Amino acid sequence: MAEAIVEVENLKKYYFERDTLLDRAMGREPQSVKAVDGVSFTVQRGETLGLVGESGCGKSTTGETLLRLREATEGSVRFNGEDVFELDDLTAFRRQAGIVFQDPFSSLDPRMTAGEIIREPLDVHSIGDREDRRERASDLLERVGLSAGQIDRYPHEFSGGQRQRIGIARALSLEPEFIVLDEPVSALDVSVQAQILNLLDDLQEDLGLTYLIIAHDLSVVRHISDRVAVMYLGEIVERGPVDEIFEEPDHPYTQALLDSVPRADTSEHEREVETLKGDVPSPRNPPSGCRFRTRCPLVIPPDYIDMAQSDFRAVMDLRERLESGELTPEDVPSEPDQDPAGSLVSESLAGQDRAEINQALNALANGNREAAIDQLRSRFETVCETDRPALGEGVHPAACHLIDH
Amino acid sequence: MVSPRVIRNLKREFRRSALAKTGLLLAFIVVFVAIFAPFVAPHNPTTQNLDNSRQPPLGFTRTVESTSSELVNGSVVIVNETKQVNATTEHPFGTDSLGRDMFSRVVYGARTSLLVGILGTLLAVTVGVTVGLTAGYKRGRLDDILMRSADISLSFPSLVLAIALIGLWGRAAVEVPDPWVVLGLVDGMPREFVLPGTVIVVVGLVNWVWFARVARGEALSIREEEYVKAARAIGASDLRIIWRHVLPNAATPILVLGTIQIAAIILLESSLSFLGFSGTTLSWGFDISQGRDYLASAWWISTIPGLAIVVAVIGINLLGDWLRDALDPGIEGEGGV
Amino acid sequence: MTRDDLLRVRDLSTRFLTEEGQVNAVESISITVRENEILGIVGESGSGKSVTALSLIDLIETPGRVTAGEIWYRHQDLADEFRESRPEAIDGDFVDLRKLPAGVRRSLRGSSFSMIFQDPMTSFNPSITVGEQIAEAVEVQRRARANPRSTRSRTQGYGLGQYLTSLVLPSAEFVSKESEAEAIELLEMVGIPDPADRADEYPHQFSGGMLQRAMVAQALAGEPDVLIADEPTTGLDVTIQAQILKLLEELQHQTGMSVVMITHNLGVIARTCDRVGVMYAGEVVERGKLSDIFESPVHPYTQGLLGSIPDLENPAPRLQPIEGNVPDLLDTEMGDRCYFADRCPKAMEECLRKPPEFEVGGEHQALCYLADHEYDETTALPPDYFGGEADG
Repeated sequence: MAEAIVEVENLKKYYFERDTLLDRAMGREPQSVKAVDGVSFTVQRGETLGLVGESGCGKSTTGETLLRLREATEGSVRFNGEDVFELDDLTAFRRQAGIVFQDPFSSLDPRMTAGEIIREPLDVHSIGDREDRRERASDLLERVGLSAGQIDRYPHEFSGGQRQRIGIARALSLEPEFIVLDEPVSALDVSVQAQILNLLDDLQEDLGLTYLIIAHDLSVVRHISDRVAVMYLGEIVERGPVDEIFEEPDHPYTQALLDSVPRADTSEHEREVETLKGDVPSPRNPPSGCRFRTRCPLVIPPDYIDMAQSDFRAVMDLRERLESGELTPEDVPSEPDQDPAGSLVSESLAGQDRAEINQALNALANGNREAAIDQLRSRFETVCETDRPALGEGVHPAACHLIDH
Repeated sequence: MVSPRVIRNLKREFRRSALAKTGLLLAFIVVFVAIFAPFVAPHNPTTQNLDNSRQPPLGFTRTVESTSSELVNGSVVIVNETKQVNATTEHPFGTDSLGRDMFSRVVYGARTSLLVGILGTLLAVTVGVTVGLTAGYKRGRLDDILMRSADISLSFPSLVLAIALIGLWGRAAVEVPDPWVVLGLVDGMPREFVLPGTVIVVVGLVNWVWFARVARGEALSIREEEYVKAARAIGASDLRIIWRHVLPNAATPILVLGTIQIAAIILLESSLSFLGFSGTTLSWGFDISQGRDYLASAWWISTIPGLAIVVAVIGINLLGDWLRDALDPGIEGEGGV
Repeated sequence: MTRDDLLRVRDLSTRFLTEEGQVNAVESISITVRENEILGIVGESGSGKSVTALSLIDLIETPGRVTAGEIWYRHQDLADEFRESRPEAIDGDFVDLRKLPAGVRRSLRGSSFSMIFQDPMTSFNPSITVGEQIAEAVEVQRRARANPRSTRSRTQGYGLGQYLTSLVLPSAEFVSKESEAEAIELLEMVGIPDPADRADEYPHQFSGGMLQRAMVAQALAGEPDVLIADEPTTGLDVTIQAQILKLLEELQHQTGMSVVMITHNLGVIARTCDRVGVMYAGEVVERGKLSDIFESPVHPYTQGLLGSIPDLENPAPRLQPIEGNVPDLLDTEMGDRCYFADRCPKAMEECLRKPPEFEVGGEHQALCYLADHEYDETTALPPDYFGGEADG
């Protein structure tokens, strides 16, 4: 049975803004950006765990905090049983856990030769003598598919893909067990991407490596991962074996994410795609309850509400705009016999729903925003905003009330 | 530290620029003259000869008018005499009020200016870059403290600092034996030359802030580069990172600034000498100050050293400007097609 | 349904004179853009696709130059105008833009041709509100339409004097109220909620997706015939990308304009395009309908490209990358052979001579001998014929 090489529990990384002396003097409250907000997962020895999500979801921050390249705000990371955050001396840990970065153009020091770059970890940890290190650098160059004769060249003399290989060689020089791959192929051309992915595959097999791959390209993640965790706004919303995640996603966000990816196939031209509305909310002020509720097409209406799902989504959108202040009294159509609920939300609203929305909108038009917000909230409050769904244990958990309802 | 491709680029840029060649020529002359001063100077710059006082430079003459009274046949007669003092090839730049050869003084003055310029800049660079890189890389409270002290230091006028330090330490004029003379390769020249210690410290302390600012700016941007993250990931210490990664990549603007600062420091030293704060009398500034009283009659005493300053500063500035432009465009840039 | 040709590019070449020598960014390509279609141009870095786009609308600057070729654009008014004075530039309703004065080409930018770029954040001036920037584009087009041929009237003396006057006298503003209103309409058209409020905001207050929509709005200000989209969704999140692609498709249907979609992402091509051109090393190596390219590609590069992308729905155990690196495009190093031969798994002896474009069938063409006859293993070039260099 595979053992866990990395165990992450309730990891949090908050960035505090407005926290300088001057701000305190002016009496401003420090604001926190909740980049990672309670993330838990394990990585089994020998497997590849994929961490996916869009910008602002916190996946890169998770990777870096896990390796203690940033100081976590809360939580624990156990590596081979030892708590990484409690370690005073990180030297041993740094030898066992490495990282490959995204940008082949900025992850190599332009003033050092390829050989020097690959050798540096050995220099830092004083492994072997000069001769040994140079030899090892040559070996590693060959190992990643470059020729040892290029050992004295500078980064700008290599192509993007070749530079990425140098980055991989550097990560391998200390013979780590575990490597975090932070968007390793995003900056590369498609044909070069394939070369690097194959290389990573081979290295994993030959050297018995464990990978955590962080990427936004779902096709790449599917290709290389054994298990996948999907992140949204600092949390993991779904986790499971790769085939299950991609073929039977449970969480609406995962479904939307997969749906949005354009396939390189003729059938793509005719495929219907439900696009998500709006943008990712700001991590400074994440939505209460389920963070995806502001965009979720399957947001759960209260039991007593009976309307089409798309209409309820429209009602929730209206509430969002109202509560954020985006909807102003001027936006409400002013004719008294006009039906603002119909024009602003949906024509197919009926009965008490329609009436209450109209009431609220009229309250807004009269300048009473608070009353409007309260009215709509009391009628249309969804469990998705009151309760934060938990991820749970198990092989394929999803943090969504649709699952546990 | 500087990659071979950069050097190739530099060479090519240099060949193209007339300005660079001019700058290099002027700067080279100054350096050459400073190093080989005992050989270049025809006379010992400290030898006085009151009979030969205020001799004009080649091509000029000085007219001396004297009025005296004589007793002729029992009555007082006013006699106006006009005498000409001519230039001689022995003193092609003339002499100063104590009869010392101007040319030799200018030559030795180059030594002072250059030494103060280079040593002062080195001091400023060392202090400034250390402070700046540390502040920029570490950030946080340390950054605040260091930069505020830089601001405070900037607000100190150099003059006040000079007075204070000279009051404290004296001029700290260090006498360094002149190797050419000691080795007996030349005679008749001063055995020692004076290194104005306090002045060097003053100019260093006044100028370090510019380097600190530039270094800090560079450190701020370099620390965000992924290769710095990578270095931390392999366990490199902060010191190693600053030394091995940040400094080499920050070198270019610091190098350019350093070159231009040498010129600024030469000017500063001249001003301090002019005001009497130098530790040595063999200085362009000192001579300018000397010649103040004779501007109408023996203008060359001030003007010749002044011209020397102009030549040196222009030469070094041209060189620095060209260096900045030549190193500026993205050296490692990838062309997009 | 056959659509008429709108733009016919013939043998277009663009060169860059760099320190290392002449770079042949675009090498004698021919493309046809039809009306009311979305044409895709797919290629990796160094393929010349972006340079092609810039060459089309005459935005190539030193050290680059369009050195050869014709850009035939169907515009009856222009054709009539220059029929007498420049007969060599006219062919029926088509005008060869390269043979017309530069001022004419400039006047077509915004009104006939429009372009959107990859990074919206750098395409907007951060110190001017978004609404104002779009309104400015609208105003320029409005004035140009009033007096199309004169470029001076396009900006109508919008110099320092005008600017200073407008600071003092609000009534002398360059941008008219009508243009400002139209800018808000454009923002609404591209799906930005509360357009009137958002028009008063600055670019940094917009998210990436929103700003990209704003860029599209600005590009549409002059109701162009051809919209060139250069990597419009690269760098955007996948869900936002889906929104933008949907928007472009809808707008294309609404306005009937032609879109040239330039990207390296084959998924985006499959989603949006009707016809596709595949570029490599400055040439169009294969072209055809969407199904031709994706289902029966002939050129080994196209095949290699398709084989090297991980499939979202049917993951293969191993990817089939294309060996080697993209060429430098330096004139001195290119030679007269097929540019892909050094990386091609099916290179034959005859590939040492540049192949012509062969018809594969219908609209499907390929710049490869394999379009003409089967692969002949007996004439295969040995694998290290071109000297080995490590993989990229």
